[in-house]
Amino acid sequence: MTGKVSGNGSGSREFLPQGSRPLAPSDTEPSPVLETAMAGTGPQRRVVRIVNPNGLHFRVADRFSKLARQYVCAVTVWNGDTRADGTSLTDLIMLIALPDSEVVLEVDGPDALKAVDPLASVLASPGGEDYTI
Amino acid sequence: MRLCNFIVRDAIIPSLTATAPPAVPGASRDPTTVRTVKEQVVREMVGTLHASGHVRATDVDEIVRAVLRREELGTTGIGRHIAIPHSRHQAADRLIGTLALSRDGLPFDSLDGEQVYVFILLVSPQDRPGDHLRALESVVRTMRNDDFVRQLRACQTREEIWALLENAAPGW
Repeated sequence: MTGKVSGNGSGSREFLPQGSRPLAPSDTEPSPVLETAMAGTGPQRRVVRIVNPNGLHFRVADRFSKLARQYVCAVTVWNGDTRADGTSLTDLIMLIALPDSEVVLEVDGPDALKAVDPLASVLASPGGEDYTI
Repeated sequence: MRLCNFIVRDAIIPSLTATAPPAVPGASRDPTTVRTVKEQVVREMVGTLHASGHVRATDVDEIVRAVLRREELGTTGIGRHIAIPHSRHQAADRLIGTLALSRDGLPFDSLDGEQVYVFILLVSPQDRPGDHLRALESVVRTMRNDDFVRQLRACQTREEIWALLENAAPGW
């Protein structure tokens, strides 16, 4: 079993879960360098259902933030109105993403296309872990 | 959720007895030393949960082992001198936790490589992930406040620590 991942490509945030809000202007304005690099791609977004029975817990957040730091692109995860820098373990913990909730993964930068699927997979993974600890 | 909602007052440790040999300048910590320190800290903290009547004597060793097994999967030293050792355990019928301070700091394999001075240990039931996630969020949110952490580390007694936790605004 894997989590549901849907949504793709650049474009509006119209498919975001109800209650989500767009990034603040200061968050969305790419640097000139990034803007050039992003030409033709744009931000990548996925809606991801959290199927892990423990939700987006510490170990998943740790795994996700370590992977996010391997990319140049900005990685953001939304749970409703709450926004997390995907490279920050503590930001991700503060999302309180419960089992069976949906989060939005937003990846923006030159390697966004390369990054989005592996990152979404971590969020959507049931973990294959020891759920008892 | 606030820290005082799940931290057991009588299990708070104002000064851990766990110690570590002095670090060698420029050298990374011996993993065996870190493992030993982790066991000392976790055992002392679970011990106070038992002494305060919140963990049965027969469950102490198993909970210690579970928390340490969790540490082996990845450190809970989140940086900024904070660690959140935790485990889910069938012995827990509700989320409980305790807080301990180290006066000299202890190696805990933290993400930022720094010593840990503030430990919050959580034990939660296996079937209530929401409580566990909310408690983790509460710890992280509270400990992001440098002023709070500074005041916490200055506390000398259980009563002072508890008063700080009780008076902390939910937004801390």
